[in-house]
Amino acid sequence: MSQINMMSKVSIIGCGNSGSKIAINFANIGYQIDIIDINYKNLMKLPQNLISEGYLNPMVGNAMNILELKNLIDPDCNTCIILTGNDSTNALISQIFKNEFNISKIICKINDQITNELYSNLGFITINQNDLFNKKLLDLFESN
Amino acid sequence: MYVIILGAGKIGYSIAEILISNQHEVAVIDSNKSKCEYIDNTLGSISVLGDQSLSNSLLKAGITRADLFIATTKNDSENMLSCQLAKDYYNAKFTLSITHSKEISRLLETININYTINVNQHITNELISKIKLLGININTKN
Repeated sequence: MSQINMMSKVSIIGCGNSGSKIAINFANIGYQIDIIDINYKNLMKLPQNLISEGYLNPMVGNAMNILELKNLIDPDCNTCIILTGNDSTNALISQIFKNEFNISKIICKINDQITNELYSNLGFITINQNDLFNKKLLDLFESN
Repeated sequence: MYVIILGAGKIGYSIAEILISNQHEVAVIDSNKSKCEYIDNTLGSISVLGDQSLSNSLLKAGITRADLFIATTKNDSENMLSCQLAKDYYNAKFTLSITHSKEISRLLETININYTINVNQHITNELISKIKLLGININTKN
């Protein structure tokens, strides 16, 4: 495993299917990941070795509670990826990060087309699952 | 005025009732079918059954011609996002939102929502004033 990448402190909100997978992938290539979920059961599926080696730091907390979030987020964190299963939850948490924290990159998953457009106009980096799926399908068709 | 209300709970229902009796045009969005039916039976056919997509539900209710949008759900994030969509995407003239925390209220006021009302704070204040009316002294500095 590569050395811990001290330059990039990444926080991930939401440890569902996408959150946990991304956290593990990033940790495997040397990023230090803080991952927050409201439900401790979701954090249990993270691999123990990555946690004990210091690559993954799971934390239980409600990211929609500003005071709670301030206690959880590392002051050195410069990238935040918001991956809960709900568009409006992701929107609110992104907005909290923008207004209350000094974080250069806020990346959020917004699946609704219009909300996605609005949020990218508001300066957030947005990811739309449907768009990704469409792109992948198009690539598949074009490669044949 | 055309007013769209998100949430057919107690708050949403009462404000719709008052606006209608004042001859305003009103639509109430809720994703609960029985709440929508109750509204249609008591206030007239003004309910819009919301679906999973907030933007879709707002469009169905005619957000593009709304003068005022009021978010009254129990969910602060839904209230915030619907107000943002109403104001910043669909150009509704005014937006109001209820919230359930002081910090979120403060946040919402910085993002283009005209007014936010912190429900819990209002109830607390009301309780304090009634406690004082009973002649009980309490200090409310914090």
